Amino acid sequence: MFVCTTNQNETMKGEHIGELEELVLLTVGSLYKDAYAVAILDEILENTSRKMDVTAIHSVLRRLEKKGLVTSEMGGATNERGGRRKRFFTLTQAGRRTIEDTMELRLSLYNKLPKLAFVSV
Amino acid sequence: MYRPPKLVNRFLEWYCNPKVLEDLQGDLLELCERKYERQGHFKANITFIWLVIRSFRWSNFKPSESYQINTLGMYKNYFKIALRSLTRSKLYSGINISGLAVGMAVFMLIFLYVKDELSYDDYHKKGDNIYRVVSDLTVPDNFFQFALTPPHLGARLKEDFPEVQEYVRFSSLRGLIKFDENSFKDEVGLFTEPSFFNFFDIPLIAGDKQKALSDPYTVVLSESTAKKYFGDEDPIGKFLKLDGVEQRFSITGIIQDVPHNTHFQFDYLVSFSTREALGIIQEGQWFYLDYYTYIMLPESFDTSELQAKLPNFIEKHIGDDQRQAGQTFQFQFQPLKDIYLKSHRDVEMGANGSLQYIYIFSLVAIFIVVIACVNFMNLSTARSSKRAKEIGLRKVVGAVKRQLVTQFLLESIIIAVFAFVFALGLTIMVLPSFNSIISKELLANDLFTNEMLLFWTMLICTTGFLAGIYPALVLSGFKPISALRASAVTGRENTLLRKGLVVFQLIISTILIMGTIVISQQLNSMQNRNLGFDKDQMLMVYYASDQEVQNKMEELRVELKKNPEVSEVSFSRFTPSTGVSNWYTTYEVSPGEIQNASMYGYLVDFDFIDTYGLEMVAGRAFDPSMGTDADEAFIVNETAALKMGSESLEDVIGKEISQFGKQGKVIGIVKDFNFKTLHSEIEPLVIQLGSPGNFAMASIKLNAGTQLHTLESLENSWNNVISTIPFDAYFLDQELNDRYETEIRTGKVFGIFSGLAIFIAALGLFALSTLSAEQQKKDISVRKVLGATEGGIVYGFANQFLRLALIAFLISVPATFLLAESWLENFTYRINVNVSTFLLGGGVILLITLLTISFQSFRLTRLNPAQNLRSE
Repeated sequence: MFVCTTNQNETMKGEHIGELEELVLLTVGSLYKDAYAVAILDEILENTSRKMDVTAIHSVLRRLEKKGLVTSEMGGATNERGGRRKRFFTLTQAGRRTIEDTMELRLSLYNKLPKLAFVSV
Repeated sequence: MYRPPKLVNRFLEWYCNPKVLEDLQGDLLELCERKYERQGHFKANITFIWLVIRSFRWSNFKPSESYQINTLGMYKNYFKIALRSLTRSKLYSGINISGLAVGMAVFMLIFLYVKDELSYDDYHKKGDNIYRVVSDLTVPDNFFQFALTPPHLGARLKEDFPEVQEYVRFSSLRGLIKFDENSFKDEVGLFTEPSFFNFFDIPLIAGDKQKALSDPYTVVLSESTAKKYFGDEDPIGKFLKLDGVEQRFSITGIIQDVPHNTHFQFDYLVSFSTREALGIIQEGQWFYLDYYTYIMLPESFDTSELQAKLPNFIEKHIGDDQRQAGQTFQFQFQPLKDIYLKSHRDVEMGANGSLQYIYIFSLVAIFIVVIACVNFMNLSTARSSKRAKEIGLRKVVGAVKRQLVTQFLLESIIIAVFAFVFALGLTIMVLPSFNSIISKELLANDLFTNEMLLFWTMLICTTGFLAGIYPALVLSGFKPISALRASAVTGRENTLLRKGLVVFQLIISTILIMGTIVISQQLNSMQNRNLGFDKDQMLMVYYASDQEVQNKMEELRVELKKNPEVSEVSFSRFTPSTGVSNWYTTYEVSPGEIQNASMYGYLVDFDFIDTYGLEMVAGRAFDPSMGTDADEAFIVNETAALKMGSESLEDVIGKEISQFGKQGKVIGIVKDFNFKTLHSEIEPLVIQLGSPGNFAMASIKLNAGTQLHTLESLENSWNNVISTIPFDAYFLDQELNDRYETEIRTGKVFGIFSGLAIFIAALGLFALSTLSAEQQKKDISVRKVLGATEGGIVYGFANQFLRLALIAFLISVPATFLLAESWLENFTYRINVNVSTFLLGGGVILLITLLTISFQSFRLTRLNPAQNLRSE
């Protein structure tokens, strides 16, 4: 843990992210430059078999954007989708750190799990 | 290719924030496209609808339109720009503001006037329950509506009907008050009873409410009368004398001065019991109408209930008397607050107001404000080209129409505020002179009460809005592209409307001018009308029933006639300047057939006919050499002679007649003369000789060209004979004119206001002509270069405006005619509206138009074409 603690505390305090938000955030990260709502929806379906509503993705994305964890920008015009442009999302520095923080938290908690529990299985 | 349902799609576009619409719609379309390919159109539609509904959530909605702009900053900017554009063109702002200010000042004055007229008798706490009883009297061939009632009507009503809780009576009293050796004249007195204090909220300052007016020979003075006689001394318990009464009166109270907005006025009150003690008032004198009766009814009582019971009441008390006299009574109940404006009966207690004039004045006030607003509208739209660039720029940087409308409305409201401040100053300045013209005591303080402040705010906003809304809509409607182009909007698109507004202003002005002419013609004709008697150079002295004058009448006549300027002296009970009594009269229709009627009667001396220059049309005048004239001679006027039912006037001579306790014969017929005001037609009049004890007026006919010293020498002659009362004379013609005070006052006010309306309209016309000269400079320059004459240029320019004046004239003629006819219907002796009135009015308006624009048109002739065409 080499990250500045005060920053970390602030992030932890202010930006609790929920499970769905975390999932979307991770997917945005993994899709890298192709993360727009429908692609995210497809990716989640593929990886987790979770069938989601696109409107839910929209609102999660908007929330994440408001929290400053992702940014968005409009893509180029195409002939698909009735000529409507896509809005592509990318992770921000803060978004990246949030992912790392949650991962670290999970990992440290996971490491504390008593090993015996597995033995009994 | 999937096509979503149009309606649903439009719904999405309607609610969705444009910032998120594109990608959201795209995402939905992409998903549905997929669905469409796999599952067909229907399933795709279902999905689309479902998704659109699911997207219908707060975060996707359009933001409300008031997005975060610094409104305060914009308002500051509007204010600054408004002030700048005001100062940039001082002429137009000056005209705008002064026009509006004059308009508002007129509005304020009229408002104060109307408010005062409407406030009559509204300060009495029990005012809603007080009713005045008045009588309608039907006599053979005639019908009278008196404000008066018989003496004991109030008491009988209270006895018979439990709903009549209380009553109070007035009876007027004109006489001289004497205190110490000085005598004073012309105080207005009223007989009344103690219940007065329960009816009217005019508080007693000193004295006891119960006792002040209960005993005979007690008097209550008004505060200012008390001050006049006693200065700072306490008058309670002191004594004074009333002319013709032996007994001394003791002063038992001081009452506050009657508020001016009361339908009756008095300087002192005398107890009613005095009248009883003097034996003037007696039971059962039902036909002696000399009393004003007020009754108190329960809260929100319907007078028609009482009205329904009246026929029985009348039959019970007056039935026999009525049948004997051949006259029938009807009584009406007037709510106290309605008396001043709605009651116009015979023998009112004072000159009552008129609802009609209130309507007329209110209308004039509104018209004048509208004319001033029209000026503003015209000038702002006409000058719109000056603002076009600003508007264009504002639009380009993102102003929406609503903001521009707000800006211009704000500007006109700022102007209205300036105008209001000037108007207040103006009103306060002219209020004293306005008061003296309309003989009222309006107070500027009434402009500043709390409710008034609200009203003025509304007035400012309304005038600001009225004046500003049209220019605001026009100006804010400019297309930025044409507004910013070099050949900016000239504002010519609105010329039709602008011309229409000018015509409207001119119509109102013309109607007001013509109206003023009609009013002044009518007033002139009333004042200069041949009344049938000699009213010029006639000096009148009222001496009530002063015994010394009565005793020394002949001596006084001789003494007065010693002055070479005096041609005639006559004593009489009534004169054309005083009221006249209506008496029970019987006359012979044909031999043996006597009919009774009610006719006016004059009691005069031998010189009366000559003094007043009355013309005998048949028979002879009174003649001292005929010993019997004093006992049995009557002279009647033509109207009476006709009523006595004869074909020719000669037949009436010698017929029997009786009036005022005298039986005799008609010896002569006098030509009709207007012994009452011109509001009513000439009625039957009977003239008989009276005795000095009956007389109350001295009429002194002077030769033409009387000087001031004549009056002095007459006063000396009077004082040589009479010591009791002073020589307090007035001229008959002035007194007669005073009777038309309401009309004269209205005429003056109307004249002033129409003058102001014309002034405002002329201001507007002047500004408009200046502007239109400005716009036509190039046009005229080209004409000049091509050889147009000066006359041609002036004609061409003036023509545009004169044509408008002509249209206005044509429209206002019928309008004026209708209005004038309906006003003139109020007069018995009325003029006819004639062509010259219209021509004069039209001439005036044309002349004013011409004068207003002449300045500009002559400036145009001196224009240097080189300078104006250079920049083209």
